[in-house]
Amino acid sequence: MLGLASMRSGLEKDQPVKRKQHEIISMYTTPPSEELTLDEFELFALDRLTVLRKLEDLKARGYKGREFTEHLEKAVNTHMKINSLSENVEEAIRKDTVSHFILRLAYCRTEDLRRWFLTQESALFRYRLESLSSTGIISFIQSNGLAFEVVSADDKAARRSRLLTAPGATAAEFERCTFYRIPFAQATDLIGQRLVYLEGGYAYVPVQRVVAIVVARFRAALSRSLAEASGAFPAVTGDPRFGPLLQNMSRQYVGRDFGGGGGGGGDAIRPEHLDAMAARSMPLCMRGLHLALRRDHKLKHMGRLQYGLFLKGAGLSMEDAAAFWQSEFTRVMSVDAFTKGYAYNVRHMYGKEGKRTNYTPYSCLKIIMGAAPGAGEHHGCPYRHFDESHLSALFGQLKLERADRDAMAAHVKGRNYQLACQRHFEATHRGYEDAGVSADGVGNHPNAWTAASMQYWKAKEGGATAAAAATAAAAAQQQQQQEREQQSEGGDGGAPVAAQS
Amino acid sequence: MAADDGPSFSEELLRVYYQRLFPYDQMWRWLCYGNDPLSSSGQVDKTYINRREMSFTIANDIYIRYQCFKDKADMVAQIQKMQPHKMDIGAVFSVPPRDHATVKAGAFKPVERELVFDIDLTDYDDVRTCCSGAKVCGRCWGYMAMAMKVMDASLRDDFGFKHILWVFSGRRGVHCWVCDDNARRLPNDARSAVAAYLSVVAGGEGKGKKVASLTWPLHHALQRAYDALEPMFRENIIGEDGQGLLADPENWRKLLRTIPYDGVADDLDASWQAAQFSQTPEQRWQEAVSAVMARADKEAQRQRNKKSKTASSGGSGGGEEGKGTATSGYLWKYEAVFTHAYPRLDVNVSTHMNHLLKSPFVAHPKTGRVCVPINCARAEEFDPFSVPTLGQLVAEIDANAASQSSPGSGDSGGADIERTSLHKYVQCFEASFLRPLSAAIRKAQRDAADREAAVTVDF
Ligand code: SF4
Ligand SMILES: [Zn+2]
Repeated sequence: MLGLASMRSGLEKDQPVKRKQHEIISMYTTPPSEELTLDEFELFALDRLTVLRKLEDLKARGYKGREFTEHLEKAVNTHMKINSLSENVEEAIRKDTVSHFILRLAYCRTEDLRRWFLTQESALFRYRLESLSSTGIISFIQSNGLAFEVVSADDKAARRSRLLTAPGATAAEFERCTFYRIPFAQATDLIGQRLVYLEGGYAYVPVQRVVAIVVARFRAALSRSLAEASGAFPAVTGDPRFGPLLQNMSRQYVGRDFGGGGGGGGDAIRPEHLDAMAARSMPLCMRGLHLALRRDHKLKHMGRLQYGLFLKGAGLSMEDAAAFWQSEFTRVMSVDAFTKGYAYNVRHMYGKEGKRTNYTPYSCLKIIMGAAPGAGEHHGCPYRHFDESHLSALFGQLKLERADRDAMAAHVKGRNYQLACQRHFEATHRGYEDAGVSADGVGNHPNAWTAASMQYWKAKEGGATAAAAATAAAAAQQQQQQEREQQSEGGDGGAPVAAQS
Repeated sequence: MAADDGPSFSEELLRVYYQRLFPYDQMWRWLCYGNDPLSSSGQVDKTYINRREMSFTIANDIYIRYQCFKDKADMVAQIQKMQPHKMDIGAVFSVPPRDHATVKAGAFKPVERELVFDIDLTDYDDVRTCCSGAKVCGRCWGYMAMAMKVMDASLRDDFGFKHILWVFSGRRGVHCWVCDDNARRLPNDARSAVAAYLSVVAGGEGKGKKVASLTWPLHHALQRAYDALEPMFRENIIGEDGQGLLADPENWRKLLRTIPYDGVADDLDASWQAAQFSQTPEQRWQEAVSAVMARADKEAQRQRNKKSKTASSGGSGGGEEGKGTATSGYLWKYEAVFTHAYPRLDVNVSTHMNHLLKSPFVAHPKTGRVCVPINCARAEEFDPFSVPTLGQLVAEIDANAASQSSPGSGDSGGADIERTSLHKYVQCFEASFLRPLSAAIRKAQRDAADREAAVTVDF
């Protein structure tokens, strides 16, 4: 496993070997044994973090295929230089390995950190593998001791016609193509899409498709290592030199920061949307703030910041925000008092006053670790800051199914507040994956929650209306057809009428 | 010809059923998978069965989850005490489910569960012509027989599973339990993958089910499914004594409408109408298939010509992308057969380890019929209406006891059950499922014992 102690002893270095492309990709099975300065330690880790963040951002923006690869390549070339066989390749490999292991430690601490790291690292790994040629992949599999059974020439020939029924297989390349025989449970992606031939519990995977399986292996191994490492975290962070560095790194919010808005699922948010959003598209922290504001027509400082920045992140313009806060506050104070006491506040949040910092909306980590709300305050994270009875009353209002409520309560009990929040999302957005919505940042950032939710409702309601319209049209057509058939014996066989009876 | 003298389901009948007929012994042997807690062998996992979740639905629809059995006597006692109207089987958890609330969050998780499938006739409502909703008749049972054949072949040939149990769900569907060791240990994502692999007809609840877009050439598993389904499609779907798809103009037009070429459908419709009383549905099917294939060949030829000349051949038909292509024609017969005959799974049941599913041998509270095992090889012979109800079974005990010497005061259901029509189903369960399963478990245990000495785990 990993231990930082091993990083301090220098071993095999400066061997000017000629590297092959597949050799610069690592599965990170052995921790590095490197001499490392504290500066390097931090620099390497932050460079990798930048790449992983970029990767997440590209995914969140829906980049795919070539475009995704090109953008990511740029980031990788700038910060990690692990793509090419330049003369500095040994240094790049060293940095790659070291930075991976540092972040592995920094992100092993909580479930969400682990999940985030796992997702990004797996995607980075996949991107790198996909850059290899078939021969490169075969070599990679061999040199990494991945014991995939190669289908013998005889076995392959005997299954020729069946193997050729897999989508994408061509007779022209069949002879040259290496096939692996892999237990089906390791090839779930390929099985689910019926992309490979399956026999007796084994998937026959052509080399071009084996990447999916290598990535799955990588992911599983990394997931296990992260879980194991989390046990060692307290001991490691006790080290006076890199302990604080590690702790600090993991405290940084690493997802999208929503600093530039765009957390509204693609559409602009207007003040008049907020009630509806609070009802179904806000996590409990923001929902609570919104309801309190609408009820009391004021919020204390911390609440204003938490909610105001959230609204900014969700895409509410500064003008709209000013109007919104004013319309609420002026129900309990004069316009004058508002302008004097609070208007500045709003502009400040948008970076238009004071130091002109562009304040970013709070992440869950920040909210959860922040100061607990006192009397009359409504900021914070309900899962973290409410007591049990308060929380169960709140759950009661949410019209959740029993199983979901229980699961959320159990997460809270286990101090997994963000998991509880994620479950709340899942419970109220059933089938979100089918709707093509990614819940990656849900439970990490309130704006991610809202963005995913808005996307969900948009897909859902767009789809529902279309479906309803289609049904109505089909019914109308059917009726017309019946009428026609009553008039004349022969119907019109070509009409595209829904076959329903 | 069920005896309609008395009720088929009641609390009183249930009491007799659990007292004298329920096959505790067989159910126990199955669910233990060789891990009887009272066994003296050092090989068995004595906590195993106690970690299996059972749930009971008792009178007034009260649903009780997280039940489990310590040993066989406990199972008998609990079932007889609770008198469940319905009993479901859940996952094997990391700790006994009764303790689920007292252990640390995260410590209670499912670790093992049969891979299960649920197929229900209500999912066929858009193609079923004989009945709809909860209604079922002998004709629509054909759908279940077809589904079972396809699923069973794929589970065995493609996935290599051997211990597969098919069970009548008591009213209008079937359940499938895949009990192989590796199936029971599959994580959720692998379950989803298997279910996706086996699904071809997709779509929302009830309405608008469609065959997902197929690719040409057809994947081996789908070709095999087609070869198995096509004869059954002809038998169960197109004829007058099946679903009547090609029996009269109104129905056959539903099929003709799906032909991707303009004109072909009209021509067929006209000629079929002209010969309506001299042609069989079978002949119509052959005619439609060859007409579409002929047109597809023509399209293929045309596409080849076009490619070589890059000139347009201004014909009257075709024109759009996709719809009029040769491939769409080659795929047409497959789509037709799959739409009407390919198994339609309720995937949600399969994809989660801790989804509960109704236990075999409980009775359906609405019909009173017992959820008996079905021999897949003879699925088409299975008649859901000849499955005994509780009322019938209890009557059989009494009737047959009267004809024999003494009722016998023993508590063993053995003697009683032999006098009823449940007997043959329990025998089938025993012979075609339990015995091979036990043999496999014994072999695995022997192999494990052999390995025991030499093993050092390298992790
Ligand atoms: S977990 Fe995050 S989003 Fe959810 S309620 Fe807490 S702070 Fe808000
Ligand atoms: Zn019917």
